Amino acid sequence: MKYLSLTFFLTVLFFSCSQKEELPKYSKATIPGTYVNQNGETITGKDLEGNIVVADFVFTHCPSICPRMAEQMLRVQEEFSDKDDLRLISFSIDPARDTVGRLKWYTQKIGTNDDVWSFVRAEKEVVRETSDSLMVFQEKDENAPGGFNHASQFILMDKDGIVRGYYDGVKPEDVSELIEDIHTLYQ
Amino acid sequence: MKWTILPFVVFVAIVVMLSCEKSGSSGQSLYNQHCANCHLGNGEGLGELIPSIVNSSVLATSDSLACMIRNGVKSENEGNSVFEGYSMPPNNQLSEIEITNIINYARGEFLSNSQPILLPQVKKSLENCN
Repeated sequence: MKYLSLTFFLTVLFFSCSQKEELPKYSKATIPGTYVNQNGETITGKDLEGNIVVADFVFTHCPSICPRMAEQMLRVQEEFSDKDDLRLISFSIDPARDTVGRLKWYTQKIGTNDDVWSFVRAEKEVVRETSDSLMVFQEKDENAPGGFNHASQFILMDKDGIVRGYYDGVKPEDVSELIEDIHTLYQ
Repeated sequence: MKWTILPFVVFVAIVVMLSCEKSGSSGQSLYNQHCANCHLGNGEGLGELIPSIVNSSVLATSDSLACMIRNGVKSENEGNSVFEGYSMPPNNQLSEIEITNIINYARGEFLSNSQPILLPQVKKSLENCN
């Protein structure tokens, strides 16, 4: 009887340890307006429904943190290359310079898979509304490198459009956690 | 007697603290501060946008390397709104010693057969920048 109890206890312990905690649910993500991607295709929030989405806010003339963020986003793209319901979306905070042609050139240079990763632009008011909705800081600042200050966060949204996590996109260990959390959403 | 050694202990502690602080401007921390945003921590750069410096001939042999670090490198297609690449920004604030440390760190880290550069070589290069 003693051994039976011990076996039961160890079994419960094993299963409780092997199951990851459920990810938090922060808020319903709203992506307003219409964006255009590097191929000139329109993208709206509705187009992203039913997909797991990882988003960030960047600009192609960014001389500071953006290459590190792109390196980490490429990791995510590669890790889930077999999935057709994961979308990566980079919102340009510099739509004046980030024309469709510029976005196309940039994405070709860094090696994005266009089916998975969209670099998108819209009027700056729309981008502002989106970043506010996703609670990501970005502002024009002539004294900042490249003319903008912005957070390096990656935002994870589930298939219902609920924000499930924020990760520092310049920290490889944070992005490893993001990758693990995406796997959790797929379970 | 015990208290007479106190000033000595404080002095040693300050020296240790200062020497620790100085190691903060080692080649690695300087590289991380001034270079890694673009060339990345592994030196591999970003696709075709930012060149890799891993086993790069420029890093291995170029006499102008110190000048490139000090004065930066203009991007290809500069001024073109669509095809303008990344410029390597100038680092006028870096001393000759700091540039030497960066080069030696990068060579040690990213070249399979690295030769250290000496401070007089860096000084000479910087005197002859175009």
